[in-house]
Amino acid sequence: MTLQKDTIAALRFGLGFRPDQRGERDPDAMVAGLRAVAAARPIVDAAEDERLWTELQEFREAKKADRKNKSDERAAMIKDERRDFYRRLTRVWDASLARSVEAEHAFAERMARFWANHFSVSIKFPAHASRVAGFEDQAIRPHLAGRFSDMLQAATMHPAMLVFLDQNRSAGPSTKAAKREGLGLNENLGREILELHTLGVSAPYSQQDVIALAMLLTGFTMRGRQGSFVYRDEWAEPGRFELMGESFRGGSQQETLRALEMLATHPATARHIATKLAAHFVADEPPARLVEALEADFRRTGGDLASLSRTLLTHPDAWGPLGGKVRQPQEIVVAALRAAGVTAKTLEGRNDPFKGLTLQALKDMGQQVNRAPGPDGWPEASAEWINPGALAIRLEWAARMGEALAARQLDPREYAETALRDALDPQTAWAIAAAAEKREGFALLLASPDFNRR
Amino acid sequence: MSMDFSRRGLLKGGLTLGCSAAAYPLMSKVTFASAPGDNRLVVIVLRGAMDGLAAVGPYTDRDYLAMRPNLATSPERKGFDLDGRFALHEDLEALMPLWRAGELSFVHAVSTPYRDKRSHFDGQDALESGTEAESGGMTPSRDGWLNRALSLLPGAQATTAVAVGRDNMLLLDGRNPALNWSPDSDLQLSPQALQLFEMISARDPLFAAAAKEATQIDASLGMEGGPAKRVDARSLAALSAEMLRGDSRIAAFSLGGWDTHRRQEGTIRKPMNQLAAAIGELKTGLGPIWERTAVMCITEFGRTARENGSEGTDHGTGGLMIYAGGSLSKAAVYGQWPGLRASDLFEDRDLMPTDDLRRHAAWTLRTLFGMERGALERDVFPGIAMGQDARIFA
Repeated sequence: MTLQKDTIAALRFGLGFRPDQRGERDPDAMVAGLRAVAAARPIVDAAEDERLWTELQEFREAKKADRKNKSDERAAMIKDERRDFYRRLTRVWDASLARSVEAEHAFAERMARFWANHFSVSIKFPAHASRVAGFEDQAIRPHLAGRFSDMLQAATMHPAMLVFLDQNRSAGPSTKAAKREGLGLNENLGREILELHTLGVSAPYSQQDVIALAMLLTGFTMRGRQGSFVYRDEWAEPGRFELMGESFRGGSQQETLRALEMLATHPATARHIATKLAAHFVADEPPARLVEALEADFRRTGGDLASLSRTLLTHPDAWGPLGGKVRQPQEIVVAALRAAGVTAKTLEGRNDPFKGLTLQALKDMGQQVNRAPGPDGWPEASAEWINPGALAIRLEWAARMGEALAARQLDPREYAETALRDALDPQTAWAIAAAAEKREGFALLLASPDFNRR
Repeated sequence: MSMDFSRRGLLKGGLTLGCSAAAYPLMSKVTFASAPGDNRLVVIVLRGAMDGLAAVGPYTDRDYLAMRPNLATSPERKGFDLDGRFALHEDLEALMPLWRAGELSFVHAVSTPYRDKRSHFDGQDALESGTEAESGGMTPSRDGWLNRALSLLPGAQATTAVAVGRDNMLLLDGRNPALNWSPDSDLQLSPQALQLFEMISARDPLFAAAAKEATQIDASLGMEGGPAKRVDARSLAALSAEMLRGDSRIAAFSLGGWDTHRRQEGTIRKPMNQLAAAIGELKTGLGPIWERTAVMCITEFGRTARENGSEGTDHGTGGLMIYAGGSLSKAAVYGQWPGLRASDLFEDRDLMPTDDLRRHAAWTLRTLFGMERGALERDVFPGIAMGQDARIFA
């Protein structure tokens, strides 16, 4: 069965159809969408950053103040402050979900998710959450149509990353500051940059390279425990360090950025990114020709992400039959709401008819926002997401979602057509129509392989 | 390796690949000649750091009562004598019959190698990943020791190990397939709709296998009054027992609420009652299989030896393991007691750990499932030396 180009575009490269949108299909427009999204107003802008920060400070101060006081009133006050802080965070997560639900530039949204997952940061403790919440908006999105190198730099210097991979507490072992403050070298960020962010684990780097990069990264830290990025000269290890056969001078922010640039444009990085991108969009084991084309593009441009996207979107092997991938929980939640034509307004506030079916459902399905299992992000392979237990949770969600959709007076047959168009298998369409109740019709669609694959 | 089937998986290239019988381990039970044996293991992770010094109080240690004016457990106060040296906390009273039957044991003053920062997050990560990492602030780990141990279990299938509940359990996360099922899981569809679902899943091998297994589990669990209304200690234990009566050999779940910084006598009651209820439910639910079962309770670290200024305890180091089950050799409090004088304490505040809890976990796996010592020391708990068996099991 040959599918319409629109269908492949919406399901493989987008977030699923909306009844009120035509959907993206033209590669040029999709690349232009990257620019539009990169320039769009972020959810976590400076003002929101400030509000998150303020809520966090209030929570912390409540905990700190009046420690001797063991009264229940004080405990209740701390609880209130904690709740306010998490409410603010939840608002950001809700807004981010709603942005995907409404998005016209769906490909750009998918790319933002892809890169945020590539540079995965997850919450380590409450104060860290306030930084992680803004990471995608601040370090990833502005560079969607820019250079990989710039995105690497922004991600590396973002406080969420500095804390996540312990860079904020890494100091050159021979520095006075290290002795005075009892700090030492922490290799964590250096290792993950090589292994996950740039060259990839199969590239020919050694422990010596890990140490060299970790040494060059000393000095990259932040003001206070959660402040903004700062380069601390007195923490930076001096000397020369050999990284992937090139020599860099320690104790200089410029030199460290030059090292990152070298890694960002390294041929191994081109291969790593090309493979990962194709695996994410097309198949767990992607077509070799597509990977080669992406790799060549990355090498030719030195990591121009607009060009890389265009190569992906114009390659014939990227438009083959659907079904090579399992949609991750975040994707099915967004696609289900899009097909219902839900707007951000519907999802706001107390009367949200989809309460418990979005953020909570993601947690139940094992993909809680900002809580990826590690620096390598969410697993990519289809089999990681579908096993008996996981499918049972998807089925439960589908059943509850079915109730919410039925309550909105939608027809499951029309809904299925909207959601999948010609990617809806006739047998699935038949089963939906054969269901005894509307809610079960919705549930069958939402749990079907048709809807859960792309 | 049998397990690799699932990872390379079918569907490398999508639906076009077609069906392959060996693609999903659930589909290929017949290809496994050996079975993982008859013994059962339940691991309960006590999240929040259980106060081992309250649960099993060293009431004959002369420093104990002095450092815990409100929170000491002794036969005279809030406790039941165990062996003339230690006393069991009164909120665990329901476990006393097990002690008398030789089905309850403890290992005192144990810990993981995790030290100093006393973060729950890092401590639990260390506990479940089973690695050597000593300091906090590490990157969250990718797999748990119980998952790695599945590689050493002959004939393990996707239902052999089950993580029970809604919590993500690093302990069972990893390369080897393990089931995750919650007591309140409910496919919520009518039998007719489930049939339709199986029909539309049939042409997708990955979904078909998972759907078949899920509906089977759902149906088999439905026999006892359907899914639980709530996820609590009792329902977690009941579901674990039910799975272990079937194909499963290993179950793991978490019980929280142990972070008792304030007014511990009040706040510890619920988690202790829950723990006792869970173990009781396991014994009841397992019936005759209890004889071949070991329940192992572990926690990320202990709590401060001295009580704090708000009648609670803060994060510590040396902690307590609890064992229950018909497979135990006797009732005993194991472990090398370090003493509680200021100089005996770790950093003048915590019970000094005198043993690595991973060693006991390794011996447990070895005894129950015959796993090889070399593989346990290399792959499951890299870097540990198993040393002498404490002979906790018969």
